[in-house]
Amino acid sequence: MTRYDTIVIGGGPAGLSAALKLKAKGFDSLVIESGDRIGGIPLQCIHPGFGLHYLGEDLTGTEFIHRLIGMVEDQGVEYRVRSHVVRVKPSRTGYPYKRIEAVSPYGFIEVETPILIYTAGARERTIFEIGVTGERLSGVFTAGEAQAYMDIFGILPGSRIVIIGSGDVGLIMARRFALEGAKVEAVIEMMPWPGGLTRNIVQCLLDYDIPLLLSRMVVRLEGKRRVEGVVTVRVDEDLNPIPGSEELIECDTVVVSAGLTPNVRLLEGLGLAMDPSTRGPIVDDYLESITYQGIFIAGNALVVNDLVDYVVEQGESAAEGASILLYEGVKPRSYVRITKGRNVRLIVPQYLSCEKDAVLYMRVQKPEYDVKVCFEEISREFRYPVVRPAEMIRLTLRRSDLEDLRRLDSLTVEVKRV
Amino acid sequence: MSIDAVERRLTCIVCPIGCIVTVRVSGDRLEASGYLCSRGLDYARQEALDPRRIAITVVKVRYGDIPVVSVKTDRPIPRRFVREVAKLAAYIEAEAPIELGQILLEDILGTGANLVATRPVRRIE
Repeated sequence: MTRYDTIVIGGGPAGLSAALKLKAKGFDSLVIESGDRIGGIPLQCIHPGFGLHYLGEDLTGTEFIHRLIGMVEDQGVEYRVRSHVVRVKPSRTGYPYKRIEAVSPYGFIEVETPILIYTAGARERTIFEIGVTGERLSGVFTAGEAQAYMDIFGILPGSRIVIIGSGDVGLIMARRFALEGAKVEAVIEMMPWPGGLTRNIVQCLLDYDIPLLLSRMVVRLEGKRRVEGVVTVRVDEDLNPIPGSEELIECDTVVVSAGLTPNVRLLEGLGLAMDPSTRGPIVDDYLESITYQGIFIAGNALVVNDLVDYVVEQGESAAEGASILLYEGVKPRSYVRITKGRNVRLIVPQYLSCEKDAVLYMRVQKPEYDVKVCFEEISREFRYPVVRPAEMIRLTLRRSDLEDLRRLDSLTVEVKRV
Repeated sequence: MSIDAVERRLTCIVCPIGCIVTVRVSGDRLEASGYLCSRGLDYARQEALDPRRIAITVVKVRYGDIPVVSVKTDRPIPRRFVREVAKLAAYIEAEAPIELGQILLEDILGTGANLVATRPVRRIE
């Protein structure tokens, strides 16, 4: 049985940055990737906006990931592609080893490790998850599928496009379709505000005169074999459909951009505690599962991020946590739980060890102007001129702020109007 | 008589606040309002007088391990050229192997920007 200091599941930005960091600290790791090549999602992202923080340059996804892959090759990080992990279970050799089983064209892979770094990313939500009825027609794609068609395989999937959901990938694909000669009939968003970043609303929709229909949802697909149109309906403040407001929009292609959800099936099988608001695992500030020792989670498998820079930062943070565990072994730790207050939709990590500076990633429920994010128990607050659900908030709590907190068992975060 | 002033409303994208900046351009004079900081004014001036973007698209590849290579202009070009770049890119063909950053077309449409590959492509015979 081959043993590694760490096994990384998923060779995207989070997994590769974790493996690089571990290598720099002198630990060996094996990256197991199910796709044909390492790199993950950025391989199909030909638009700029990657790496501003991590590399200090504005790169396209493809440029960014090839830099990272270059570093992985230079450092001799070991990886296997086309290898799909089917099972993670406690090893028969006993604690703390975990046994990872994967299928690949080279045969069955069985390896053991005391530490698993899980960076399997997120998957797109599909047409079946957003309440759309109608036949199973051809011409329906997720935004990522459309992106792979166009930007890896050079195929335009249709000529009259309706995009469901205004998340960033959908907005970016609206621009790609417009540029490649297709007509984008509309981008349809159920919420009263757009799901994507302001930058993308301006540069992807306004630049190309693409209509954004807010407070509207698609209820039915029309067509015989290929989709011929979508029936939309306006919704009220509570997202209930308004009778009589149905409208047909003709199109030959529907692109679903209804957000991502962390890929956590393997972890659920192990019984890790999950957070219903992130749909990812519950972790401490080392990004280690709160209920399963030696499993660290980073990137979109942990929480759906807006920026690859945050994904890389989480990968490095997980590697940091893993190396401390490898050096020092298991230490008893007490945690402070973060309680979500007013206008906080999600926050990661959910628990703090208070042993180090903690980087927190959070999202609000609704847009608000002139607010402060408050941590009452430690009297810390951060002012923001505006907060929006689409823009993840990243903030750091200093170790010195957290020291007094150890006597308590909960820290409340809330968004207050100034 | 002066030419009628053109008034436009722009959403500033410099920071997440997203100020709505109203810009009036008449001749070479520009008035702007609604911005909260000087970066908003700079953005509005640039955007009203000379909006620029990095153009991205794909170019066909012969003998590549994938059929298209993603490309971009290596600097921002006037926005009105972005569609033209995409159209032009549809008519050219590159040959693998292609390196990351390789120039596929120089000084595209006289903008001074080069079209560069943003992904390496391996050669397959």
